[in-house]
This record gives sequence, C-alpha cells and structure tokens, in this order.
Amino acid sequence: MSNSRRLFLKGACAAVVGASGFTIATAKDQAGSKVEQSCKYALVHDETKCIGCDACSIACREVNQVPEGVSRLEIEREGPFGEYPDQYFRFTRKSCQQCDDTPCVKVCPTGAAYKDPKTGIVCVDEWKCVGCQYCIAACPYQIRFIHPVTKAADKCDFCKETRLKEGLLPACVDACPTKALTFGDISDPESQVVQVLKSAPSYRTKTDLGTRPKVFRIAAKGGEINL
Amino acid sequence: MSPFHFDSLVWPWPIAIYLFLAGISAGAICFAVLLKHFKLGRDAYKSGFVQAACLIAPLAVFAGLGILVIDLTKPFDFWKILVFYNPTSVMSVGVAVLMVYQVALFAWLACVFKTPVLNWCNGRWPIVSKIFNAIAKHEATITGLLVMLALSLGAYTGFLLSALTTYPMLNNPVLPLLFLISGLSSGAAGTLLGGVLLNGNPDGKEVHFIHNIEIPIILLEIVLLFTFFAGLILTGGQSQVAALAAIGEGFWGWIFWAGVVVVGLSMPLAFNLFMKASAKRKFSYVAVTASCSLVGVLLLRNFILYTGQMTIA
Amino acid sequence: MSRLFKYSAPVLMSILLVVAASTVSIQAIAAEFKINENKQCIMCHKRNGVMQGVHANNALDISCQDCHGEKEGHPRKASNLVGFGEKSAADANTQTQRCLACHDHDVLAQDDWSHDVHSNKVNCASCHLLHPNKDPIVGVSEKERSELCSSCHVAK
Repeated sequence: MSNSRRLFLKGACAAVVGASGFTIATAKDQAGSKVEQSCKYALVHDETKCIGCDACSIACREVNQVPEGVSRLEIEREGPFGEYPDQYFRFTRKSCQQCDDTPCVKVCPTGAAYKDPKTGIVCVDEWKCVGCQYCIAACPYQIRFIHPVTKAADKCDFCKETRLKEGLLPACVDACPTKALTFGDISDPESQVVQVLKSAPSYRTKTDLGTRPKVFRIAAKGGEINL
Repeated sequence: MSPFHFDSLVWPWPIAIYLFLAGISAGAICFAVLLKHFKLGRDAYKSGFVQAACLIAPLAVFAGLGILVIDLTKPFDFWKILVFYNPTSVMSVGVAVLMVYQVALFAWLACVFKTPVLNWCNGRWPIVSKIFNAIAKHEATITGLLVMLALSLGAYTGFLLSALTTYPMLNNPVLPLLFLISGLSSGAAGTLLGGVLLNGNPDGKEVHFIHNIEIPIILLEIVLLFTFFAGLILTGGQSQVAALAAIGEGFWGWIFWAGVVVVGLSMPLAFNLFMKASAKRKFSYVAVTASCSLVGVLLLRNFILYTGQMTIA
Repeated sequence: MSRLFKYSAPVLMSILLVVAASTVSIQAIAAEFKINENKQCIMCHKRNGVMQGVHANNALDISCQDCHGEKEGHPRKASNLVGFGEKSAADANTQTQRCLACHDHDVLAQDDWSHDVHSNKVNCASCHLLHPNKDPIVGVSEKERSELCSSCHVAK
C-alpha cells in the first residue's frame, strides 16, 4: 500500500516536472519565432484631425460585410466641451487594439483566436471558434462580438481578409477624408506610420494591463483632464 | 443599471450554474474519498452518504458540461474544444482536467462499488469481474489521482474567471481558493442532504465526520471572502470601485449580505456549532443546514460572476 | 417653460411635417402658399424665389423679409438683404443669426451634435435648403451624411 503510494507520488512529480518543462520549452519556441516576423502592422488615429463623420465605420461595415447591430469599428463621441458657440467634441476609435500581448489569444481554448505571425495582426479562425465567448470577456477593450451569421467571435483584423490581400489599405484608412488614420509596418523605420508617431506624442489605452496595443492615438487638444 | 443586464456582461447565469456544479462534483467526491478512507473502508458502498456523493459527482459534472455546451454559440462544434488544445488557456486546461477527472471518477466508483456489482453479476459475464479487479488493483493510485484532479477542478472554476484581466474584481488571486473551498463546502452539503434523503442515519458517524470538517471549512471560507474584498478595496482604483459596487447597496449587495453571508455562511456555521454542542442530530437539522449551504454557494457563484463583470479595468 | 418647449417643439414640427407632406405632394399648391403671394419679391424671383418647404406653410406666417430682411434699395441701390449659402455676401455668422432667431441652439444640439461644432461658423445653408419642398438633409442615409461631412472636411 505505502509502496504504491510512494510510486504514485514519484509519478505525479515526474508528470508535473515534465509538463512545466514542456511549457517552458514551447514558450522559448514562441520567443524565437517572433524574430522571424516579417512585419508588424500598426495604426495611428490622429484625434486632432478626426471630425467624427463615421466614414471609417461605414466603409468598414461595407467592405467587411458586418451586419447591423454589431460593429468592428466605432467612433465614440465625448462632449460637447466648452461654451456655445465655441464647443468641441472628442472622438476616440473603438476597435481591436491589435495587442502585441493578446489576452484574447491567451484564453481561447481552441486556438481560434491567433496572432498572424507574418503581420502581427490578431485574427479569428471562424471555423475553429466554438463560441465560448471567453475571448469576449478577456478583451479589456470590449471590442469582440459574436457575428450573428457565422456565430463565431469577430472583430477588426485591419481588413486582412478583404483589402490587405489585394494590396490595399484597410477600408477605414482609405475612407477617412481628413487623413486622420495612418496604417503601416511599425518595424520599418521608414514607414509613414513610424514618421507620424515620431512627429507627435501619442498614447495607447490600458497599457497598464500589459497588452502593448498596436493602435496608437494622438490626443486631441480638447477634452477634459481626468484625474 | 439592471442587475442582470448591462453592457459589460458577457457570461450570464448558466456559467454560474456550471461553476457551481463543477465545484459540487469535486467537493462531493472528495468527501466520498475521505469517508471511505478514514471511516468506512470496504463497506463504504453501504452508506447512504457515500452513495449520495457518488451519485452527485458524476451527475453534476455531466449537467455542468451539458450547460457549458448549450451555452456555446455553436453547440454542435463543442468537439473542437476536445480536439484542439491551447496550453495558455485556462478553459482548455480545465477541459483537459475535466476529461481526466471523469475517467478517474468512474475508475474510483468501480473500486467502491466492486463488491455489490460483482455480487449482482453473480458469476455472469466474467469480463466484468476481470475489469473491476484490474481497476481495483490500482485503487491507491486512482484515489490519489482523483483527489488531485478534484481539487484542480474546484480551483479551475476560480481560475477560469481570475484569468480575465478585463474585470479587476475577477482578476484576483484569492478567487480560485475561494471557489475551491466553497466548492468543497457545497460538496459536503450535497453529500449530507443526499445522504439523509437516501435514508442515511442523520446521527451517524458519517455526519459527525463531515460536520467536523465542515466547520473549519466555513470558517476558512469566511476568512477567504474577507481577504477577497479587503484585498480589492486596498488595491484601490477600479478594484476598489468594483468591490464597493458589489457589496454596497443594491440588488447584489442584498444577495451578498443576506444570501451569502447570512444564509450561506452564518446560519450553517451556527447550526453546525449547535448540533455539535447538543450532540443529537435530526434529519431536519441536517437537511436545513445543508440546504442553506447549497443556496449560499449557488448565490455566491452568481454574485461573483455578475458583480465581477460589472466593472471593467 | 423651456421643458415644455423642448417637447412641444418636436411635436409641433412633426405635425407641421405631416401637414407639409400632404400639401407639397401637389406642386401646384406651392404657388398658393401665402408667402408666395408676396408681390414685392415674387414679381422678379418667380424662378428662384418660390418657397415650397416647411417654412412656407401658412400656419407659420413667415414672410420673405423675416429671413432675408427688408428690400430697401434692392436691386438697384444698397440694401441689407441677406442671401443664404456659400455665394452670399453675408458672412456665416450673419446667416446663422437669422435662423437662430427662432431655432434655439440647445434644441438644435439635441437633434444633431454637429450643430454644436458648426454653431455660427458655418452657414446653415451648407446642409439645409428651405426653398425646395424637402430639405435635402432630412432623412439622409448615414452614408450620405458622412459624404456631406467630407465634402468640406477633406485633407489635401
């Protein structure tokens, strides 16, 4: 009896050591593959230029066939600030932040949520998704939703499947009349997106959660100072 | 803001029931193992309490999995969770634990009920006795494995929620422990309630044994619950906002103070202490105490799930 | 009082719209609006001055002068007439003041947030036209609205 128990304990210890060793080994693998990444797409939303016309979200809905009632991209409006007739609003982009450290990918039980190693874009494999909604709960930016037709989780993928494939810019970037959106490869120091980021101070939201988002914002001058 | 409908709500009550069922399954089987190991030995299968625990454990786990599958937006694709694994996902690891747990559970049930099953077979189907004997040979290993898996399952119900950085109240290191301990106490309550309903002796040694463990478990649960909220409030920021919104005035505040603290913890603790002092245990005492505990744990799961999702980081 | 106005204004407007909708369906009736019997203006502006929109409704009892101002020396000599639109000599503030005389900016803000930012800086006629029987901005699709924004707001 005591012998078998000892044997069991030894076995259990070996299993634990093996499992942790495996996890560490695969973690190293992942770190290794990051270096080979060919590019890393990022987006800058210049809030100083944004007029809240919704051209981006309308274009997004059209191009990506997003049904009514859900959306991949929304412009949130805050305000009005100031006194009439000198009032202003503040517009912020609500869409996938394309985190480099992705809470959604981490929690997905089937691997349906994944980060494309070639582009750094966070994507959803519609077929693999079972609709457990764990990713929707895990996303601190609350931008994931269940697509009413496919029943899979869905969100902005920088138009990877619709426009990037054809060598075009994401629909929102193309549609913006004031050129408030800049898209490009952040790993390329010559890219426009890097130039824009270097030209003005930018910020990202909820960075304290360690998500390292790839959607940057240039803050509008207006707006309230929140303590 | 409505207590059951708000923007940041992703997982509604079926998930709370699933968490409750997984916890009660793990808790019940732990108590069955303890009863067999320390009190009853080979005759464990004759006890109504062990029978109850052995019924609750598999039924609860099946019902819980059923709820989980129905709650998917693509229920017919549930098999993909079993085929594709993601080691960084708590849910994926939890599903793996659940699968192995079920195997260990049935293997252990076979060990416990070997004698009555073989008696019933009465020499027919020799393959059955061969299988049962083969399994029973490894009873020690199976028991150890089962207890570890049951504890993992109980903790998993908490880790599932605590992995969500979105919600500061859920993203809390105490949560898995709290759910594990409350799962164990619900398992004890389920075993007691089922046992007396299955004509177990309400003043039997099983009840004395379980009650002796239940009292420290309830005390521990109170400590953990206190730590849970004290930790949140001391953290400040959104954690504090979330904690105060949860236990402050309002629908869920009432659920917490009246449902969880009074009905779920204080009353069972008082009844248990009273029964220990007065020595004589009756059916009604045991049943009422156990029901209070079960209601409390079920409310706790719903309370944590809903209020946890109310405040985002 | 202002609360009462807040609710009564939209109700009144919708009643007027219904009334207007039922009248404008017959174009000929437009000429019968009292405002279009204004000899002083319509004599010359038969083609470009006839009012068919909601503001023409007899119940409102608006005359051309209420918005455009008195004739004075027009057309030969100087006048303080205000025209509406891009081409008008009047600046945006002068134009918007004419509308704001009746339309409270708080009420306008409730109808659409963009009233707040354009305030007195952009003439109302950039989006609204009152002479045609239907103001082109009423009931535009989301997309048309957005295109209207970008018709002015466009980066070089």
